Amino acid sequence: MAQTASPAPGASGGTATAAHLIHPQTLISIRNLELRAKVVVEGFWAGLHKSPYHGFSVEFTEYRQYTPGDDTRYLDWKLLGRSDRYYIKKFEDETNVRCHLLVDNSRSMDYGSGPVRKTDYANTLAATLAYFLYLQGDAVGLLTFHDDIRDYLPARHKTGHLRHLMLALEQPAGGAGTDLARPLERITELVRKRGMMVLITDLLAPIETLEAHLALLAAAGHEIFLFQILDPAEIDLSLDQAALYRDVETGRDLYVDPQQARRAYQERLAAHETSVRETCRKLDITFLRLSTQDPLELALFHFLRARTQQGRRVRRAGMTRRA
Amino acid sequence: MSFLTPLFLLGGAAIALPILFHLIRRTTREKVPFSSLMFLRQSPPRVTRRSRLENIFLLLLRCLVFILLALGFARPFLQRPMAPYPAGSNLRQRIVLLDHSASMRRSGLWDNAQDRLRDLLGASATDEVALLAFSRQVTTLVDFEEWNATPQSERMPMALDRTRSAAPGWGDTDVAHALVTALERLEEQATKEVAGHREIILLSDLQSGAHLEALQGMEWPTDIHLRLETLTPKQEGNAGFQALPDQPFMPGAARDETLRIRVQNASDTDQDRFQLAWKQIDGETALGPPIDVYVPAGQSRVLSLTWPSNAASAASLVLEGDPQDFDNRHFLIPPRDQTHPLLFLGLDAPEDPNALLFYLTRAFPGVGGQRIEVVARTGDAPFPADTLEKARLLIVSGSPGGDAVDRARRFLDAGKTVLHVLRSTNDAPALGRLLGQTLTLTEASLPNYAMLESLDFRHPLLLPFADPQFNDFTKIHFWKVRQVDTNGLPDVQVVASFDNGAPALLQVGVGDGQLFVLTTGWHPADSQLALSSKFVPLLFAFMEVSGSLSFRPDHYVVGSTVAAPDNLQEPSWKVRRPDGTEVSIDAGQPFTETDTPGIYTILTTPPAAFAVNLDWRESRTSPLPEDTLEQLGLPLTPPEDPDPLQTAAEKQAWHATELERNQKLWQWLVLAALLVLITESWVAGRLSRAPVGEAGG
Repeated sequence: MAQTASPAPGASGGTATAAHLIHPQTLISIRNLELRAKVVVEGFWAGLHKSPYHGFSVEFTEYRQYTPGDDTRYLDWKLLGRSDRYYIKKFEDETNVRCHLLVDNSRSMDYGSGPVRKTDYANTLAATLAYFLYLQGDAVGLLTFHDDIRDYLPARHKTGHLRHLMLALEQPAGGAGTDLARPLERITELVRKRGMMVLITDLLAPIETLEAHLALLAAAGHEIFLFQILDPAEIDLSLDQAALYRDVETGRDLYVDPQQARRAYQERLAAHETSVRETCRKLDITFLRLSTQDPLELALFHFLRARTQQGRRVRRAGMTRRA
Repeated sequence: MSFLTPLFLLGGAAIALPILFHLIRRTTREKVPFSSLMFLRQSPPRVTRRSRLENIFLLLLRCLVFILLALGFARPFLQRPMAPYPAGSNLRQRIVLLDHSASMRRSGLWDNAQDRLRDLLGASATDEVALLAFSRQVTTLVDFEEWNATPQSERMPMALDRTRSAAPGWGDTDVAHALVTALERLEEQATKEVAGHREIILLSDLQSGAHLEALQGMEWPTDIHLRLETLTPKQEGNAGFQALPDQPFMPGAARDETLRIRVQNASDTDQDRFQLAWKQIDGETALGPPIDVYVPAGQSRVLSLTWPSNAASAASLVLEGDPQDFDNRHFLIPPRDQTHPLLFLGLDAPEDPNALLFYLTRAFPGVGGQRIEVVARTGDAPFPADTLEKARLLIVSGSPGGDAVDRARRFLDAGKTVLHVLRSTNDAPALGRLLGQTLTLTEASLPNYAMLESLDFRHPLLLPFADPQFNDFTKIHFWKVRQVDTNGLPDVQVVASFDNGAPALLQVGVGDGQLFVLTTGWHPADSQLALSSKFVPLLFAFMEVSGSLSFRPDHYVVGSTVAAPDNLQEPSWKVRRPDGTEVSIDAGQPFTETDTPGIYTILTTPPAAFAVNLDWRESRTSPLPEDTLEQLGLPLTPPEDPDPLQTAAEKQAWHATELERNQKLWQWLVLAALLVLITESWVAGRLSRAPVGEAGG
C-alpha cells in the first residue's frame, strides 16, 4: 500500500507540536547545508522522545552461527568461552541499508515564489535524510539530475562521505529541462543490490514513461520513496498578475491571467497528481507531496512512519511465510 | 498658408499610430519566470468594458509631434507679394575662354568655335561677359567694362569682330593658365553685387596635350562654375613628331650625324603610314628622298635620321601623309660646335699619371653639344690669341717657369679666373707674385692623412654638393698639404679647409679677377681627389664660376622668350623673323615675338640662327577625357543651361521657393516638435514610474 501524505504546515502526523517544528524559511537562513540537516535531525530526536513511535530504529543486532568462511574477527569469543559455540556477533553499527537519494536539480526546481526555493527545500530534505541515515550507520548515495545525470556518489558509509554528499547537494540548479527517465534508468543499471531509493523532484515533467521506469526499479527489489516538492504558488497558482510568463526550462512565453487560468490549472495539476498517485499505489511506492512551506521534520516523520509501516509489512509477510 | 511640398502633409496621417497604440490596452512587457507552463494555457486578452483612450494628454502630445513634423516637411510659407528683385541682380557674369591654339587650326574647328560663340553671346546679351582668347598666353578680346559700355544690340557683333582678329596661331594650349586668369578676372569683378551665378565657359577642342598641371592642388571657388563647350574637328586623328629634346645632337656632331625623331600617332585615326622628308626651310625643295614611317594608331616610333648633306644652315623636316597639317613641319638648325677652352699652365706631361694635366684632359667628356678643350702650355709657350681671348679659366700648376706667372697675373687683371694648384712649398714665389706680396709656404705635418672638414656649401663652387646626398667629402684622403699663412692676405675667403685647420681652397680677389688657391694637388702623390667622384663636378663648378660655360639653345617652342646675346655692344639688337621682317629690341630685353614656327636670325656678327617650332604637346589632339577635369576638382556644369524661369508656372514655383527660403517656417515647426517630444518623454517617464496598470499606450 502506498503511503501518501500531504501535510499542511503546522499539522502534525503525530503528537509533535508545531512549537517544535522549524519553518523552512528559518531553516533556509542557515547557510550550511550540513548544519541545516543536523538542526532538523536533532530537533527531530528531541521530539522523538515524546513520540508514540519511541524505540523505532532500523538498526538490528543478532548472533548468527559461524559458518566456515566468516571473518573470525567477528567471532564472539566470550560466548565461545562460555558455551563452546561459534557465533558471529553482528555489530550495531554495521551497515544494513543502502539508500540512494535521487535529487532533481533542474531549472524548475530553482523556482520559489517566496524566500524558499524548491531546490533549497529539496536539498535540505535530501541532506536531512542523508544525515539521519548516516547517523544510523546506513550507506547513503546520491544522484543529482536535470535533463542529464549531474552528480553520482555511490552509497557509502565512511568518514568524509557525508561531506562530499553535502557538497554535491550545494551545487546550484542547472540544466534545461527535467528528464525523470534517465536517472531512473541509470540508477537501475548502477545499483544492483537491493536498497532504498528516495526520489526528490517537483515532477513537473511528462510522466508517461515514469511508471515503466519506477516499475523497473521496484522490480529490482528497491524500497522507493517519491517526494514531490512544490511551491505554494504552483499548488494553487497564487499569482496576482496577468503577465507574460516564461517557462524557466523551455523558455516558452505564455500570456497567463492567473484569475482565469487558476481553475483549469488546478484541475490539470490534480489530474497529474492523481496519475502519479495511481502509479505509486500500483508499485507500492511511498508518495509524499510537500510544499516548500512544510516543516522538514514532518517530511522526516512521514518518511520514518512509512518505513516503519513498510518494515511491519515485511515482518508480517516474513512471519506469514514462516507460519 | 501655402506649402512648398504639400505631399508631406500626408505624413500627418501617422497620428493614427499613436491613437491605435493608445486604444490597444497594454499588456505587460515584463516576462515573469515560472517553473513550468505545462499545466497552463494561453489566456485570451482580457476584454475590458472600458474601450476609451487612456492617457489622453500623452496621446495628444504624440499626435502633435506627428502633425508638427508633417507640417515642417511640407515646407509651409505665408503668401505675400515678394519685393521685386533689385535690377541687375539676376545678372550672370560669364567669361568665355576661346581657344586659339595651333590645334584649333584643324579642319572646321574654328568655324565651329565661332558658331558656338555666336550662340553663347546671343544668349548672354543681358549678362556681363568678357571674352578672352588663349593659347600659351591669354589675350583679352572684350573685357567686362567694354561689354557693359556697349549697347546690348552691338555687343555680339563687336565680340565676333574681335574674334576674327584672333584666328588660331601656333601656340600650345595652356588651359590651366587661361582658367586661372579667368578666375582672377572674375574675382576682380566680384566686388559688384551679383545675385546670379558666375561662370567660365571654356570653348576649346580640349586636346590631351593641353597643359593642366597648374590646376593640381588649386582650390576652385565654390560659387564659380565651369562649363565646357568642347569642339570636335570634322576629321579626327593626327600625327606629329618632335626632335627629341634632351640631346638633339651628339657632342661634336658633324652634319652627317644622326638625329633622333619621335613620330606619334593619335589613337582615333585610321592612318598609320607616313613619310618624313627633309626640305629646305621654304618647305618646297626636297633635300633627299622621303623616309617611310609606320606608326600604328595610339603609338609612337623613334627613328634616327641623318642630317642632309646638301642642307644649308637650316632645314625643315616635313611629315607627309597626315591630313592635319598644322604640326607637320619642324624647323631644325644643324648642331653648332660649342667649344669652351680651359687653359693650363704647367710643366706636367700630358701622359704622366703622376701629374695634374693627365687627369684634367680626361675629366671633360663632350656633353650636350658642348665641348671643353684643355689647352696646355709650359711656362714660355704662349696661348693662341683667340683661345686666350675666349678662355675664362686658367689653371696654374705649381711653378710653371718662364713668364707664366706674369701671364697668369695679366689673365687675372683681365677679370678672369685663375686656379693655382700648389705642388710644393717651392711654389711660394709664384703664388706671391700672383697675389702681389711675399708669403711663405710650409708643408703641413699630417699624422697619416688629412680630410676636408669645413666646407662652405654656400659658395658657388660647392653649391652643387650642398645636397646631403653629395656632401660627404670624408672619403677623399689627402697625403700632402701646403700650409698658407692667410693672415697677411686681404680679401681672402677660405672655401674649404682640412681637419687640421689648414685651408684647402682659398679665394682671393686679385685685380678684376678671382684667384683660387688649392693647397694640394689632385694627382695620387698628393691626394685621392682626382680619383673621387667629386673631381669632375668640381672642375665643372670652376668652369661655371669662371663663366666659361655659356650656352645658347638653338631650338625654341612658339611663345618662348629668347635672351639677348651675351657680348652685346650696341644699345639694341635685331632679330629677323621667318617672314623677313626685322624686329629691333633694346639691349638687355629678350625677344618675345616667337609666335610663328620658322628660322629666326639674330642679326649680330656673325648672325646666329635659331629655330622656333610648335610645342610637340600640341600634336596630341586626342580629346581629353572629361573626368580628368573633374578629378582636378573643377565644378563642371552641363553644357545646356536653360533659363530657370521660362514659364509662368516655373516662375511661380521659383517665387514660392524664394518665399519659403526667406521665411523658413519649417525650422520653427521642427523646433516645436522637438520641444513637444521632450515634454512627451518627460510625461511618459513619470507615468512609467507610476504603477504599471496606470500607464497606457
